[in-house]
Amino acid sequence: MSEMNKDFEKSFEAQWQEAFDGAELSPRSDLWDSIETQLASSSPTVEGGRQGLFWFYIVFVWFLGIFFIQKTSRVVAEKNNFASQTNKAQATVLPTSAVLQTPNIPENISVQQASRNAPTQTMGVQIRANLPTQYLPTPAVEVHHRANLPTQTYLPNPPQGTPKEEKEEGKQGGWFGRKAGERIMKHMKKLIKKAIKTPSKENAVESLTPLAMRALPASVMSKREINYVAYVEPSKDKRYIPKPFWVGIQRGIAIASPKLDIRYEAYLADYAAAHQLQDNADLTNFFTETDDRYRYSLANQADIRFGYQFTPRWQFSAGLQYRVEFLEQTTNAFFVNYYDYSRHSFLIDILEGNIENPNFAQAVVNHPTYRSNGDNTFTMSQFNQQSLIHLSSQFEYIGIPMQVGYTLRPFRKLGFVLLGSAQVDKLIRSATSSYELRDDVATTYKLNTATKLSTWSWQIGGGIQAEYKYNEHWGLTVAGIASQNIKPIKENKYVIVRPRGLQVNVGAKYMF
Amino acid sequence: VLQPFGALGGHVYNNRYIKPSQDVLMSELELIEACIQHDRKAQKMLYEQYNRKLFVVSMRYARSRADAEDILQDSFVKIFQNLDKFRNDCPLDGWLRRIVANTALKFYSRKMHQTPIDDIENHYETVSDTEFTTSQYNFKELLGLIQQLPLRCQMVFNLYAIEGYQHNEIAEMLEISEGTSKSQYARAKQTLQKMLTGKQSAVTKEAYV
Repeated sequence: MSEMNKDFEKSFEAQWQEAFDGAELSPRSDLWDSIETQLASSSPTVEGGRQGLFWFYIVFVWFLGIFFIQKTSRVVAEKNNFASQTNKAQATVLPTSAVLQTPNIPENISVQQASRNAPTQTMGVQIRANLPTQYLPTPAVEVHHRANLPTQTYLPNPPQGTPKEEKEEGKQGGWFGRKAGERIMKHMKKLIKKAIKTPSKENAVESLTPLAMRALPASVMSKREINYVAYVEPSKDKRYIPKPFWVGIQRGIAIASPKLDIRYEAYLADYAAAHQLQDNADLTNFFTETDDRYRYSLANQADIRFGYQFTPRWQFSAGLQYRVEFLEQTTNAFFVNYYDYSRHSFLIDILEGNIENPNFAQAVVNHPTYRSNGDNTFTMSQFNQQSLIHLSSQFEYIGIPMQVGYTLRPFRKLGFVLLGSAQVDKLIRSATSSYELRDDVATTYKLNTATKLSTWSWQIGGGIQAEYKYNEHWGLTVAGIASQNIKPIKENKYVIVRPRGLQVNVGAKYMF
Repeated sequence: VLQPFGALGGHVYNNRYIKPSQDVLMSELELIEACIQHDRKAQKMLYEQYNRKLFVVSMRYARSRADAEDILQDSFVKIFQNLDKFRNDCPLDGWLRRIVANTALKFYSRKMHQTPIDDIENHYETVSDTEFTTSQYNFKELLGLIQQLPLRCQMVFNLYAIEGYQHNEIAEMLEISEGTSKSQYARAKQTLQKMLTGKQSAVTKEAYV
């Protein structure tokens, strides 16, 4: 009864919660089988594919290793268990490669002590190590050292003759003696000591050195080539598993330094026409020097991208881009700095009155730099020096950007993608808001034209993208890409635009 | 103490090293990690660890044992498919219970929507908390009582009284108004109190559903 009184004091909810606290009931015994069947039928294919890629990579690396290796022995070095490693080091040679096992050993070193018959005179040491801060599984650093040895081959067992006999054999170019073998061994020890520089105590590379030392004599003296391959893998909790698909939006600016090739012959033809010069006037060298005073273009762009991560390292993305580019350029167009016009028949014609352009002829004669040579020739310096071509245009493009990326991930949240990019652009609209030839050019020749350009253009480039993984699905990106137009945009008959620039994009991506 | 990996003979799945479930006693985190990697043995371990407790949860929400088993099955499939979303900021069993509850709500959602809401004020005739006790019943008997409640009452009662959700949360979960949630709970409470105190000896679920 006292218990009931206690219960009365408890709230209604508390009593019910208590009643079910720790309660257990067994469902039917074959329920797990049903769950397992359902799980099997709904297991994600992406995971399997990713696993397949992983194993393909492993087999590929293994194959590369085994291709040159006839016999291998395996030494597994455990960071915290040097004793077991020592025992294994003395194990029999196995036909399996340690490369296969290496990813299973996070933060530890797997050593492949491989040997093969050495038909040539080379002997070497290979060391390959991951950057310890990489969160992706590919080895990133490889140190390779190979030392050339004399052309003689090594005896399986050193000859046991007298020093004199050995010396004679050496003279004949025959076998190495024991001392030669010892010298090689000493050399190899030195090389290995040099090569296996311990980056830190944590990765246990240091502990390999005595193993390597122990392995040397037998191998060297049995005419074997030795390869040591060692690398560090990030531990499982440090690995970064990217999502395969993503969609992203980007917003960016592109600053370009467009090179406008001034097509002077076209300009001069118009100039001559404007001044009613003869059509066949020789204007080839009329302009002798040009210089760009300033030029820039600024583009404002927005992208939507779709991407696929083939492997933890490699990715591809493509999408659509809308870009508005403002371009401005002013050139200094020095017609002539110093030039003898006697070679220009049309000017002579002007002076002789053969061309009905008295105003222009008078203008030439009146120019302060005009110097008559007295023989129907004249010299002018800095004629028309102030003439400019000022161009202000706006281009609108629809582009298809494509990028291939290689991912580096030194941090778990922050990664870097090395990008190779290609982009095809369709110019959908353009307008030249100002096209101005100043100074000596007649004012009637000022243009305000809108030019319709139906040109496709291509640009290629490369850059780097920083990627911050905000959470499982969302990431923020900042990319810088340098690009070059490989097909010029024909702006109009006076200029050709060849943009070369730098773009910076800020974006967000959703990974699923 | 972590043993050397080689000695355990683990394997790699999806670039992650998985410790074998049969060789070592896994911690909960390791078990979750292995389940995320679709290690079937680990998944079975998790199932065996929690299926009986979760079956009780499922039974509380279900109208019959068969339904409860279906709900439990769906729940475990969801659990294994979404375990990577478990943030480890709450106890695992709480997270699992929520999944079972949500699965049950989804299981009965159509049926609940087909049932007209009857939240009349007279259901607010409350009985004092101190007039009864559950201690004389075992939980199986109490389960039977809960299952006799009208469907929506049953859901609201489970969510409020046992799971500890607030009425505004329940309203959102069941897509009903907060007032409806309160009235349904009052009705459930009243019915259960009557059953428990013997004032109402038998209430058939057909009368309400």
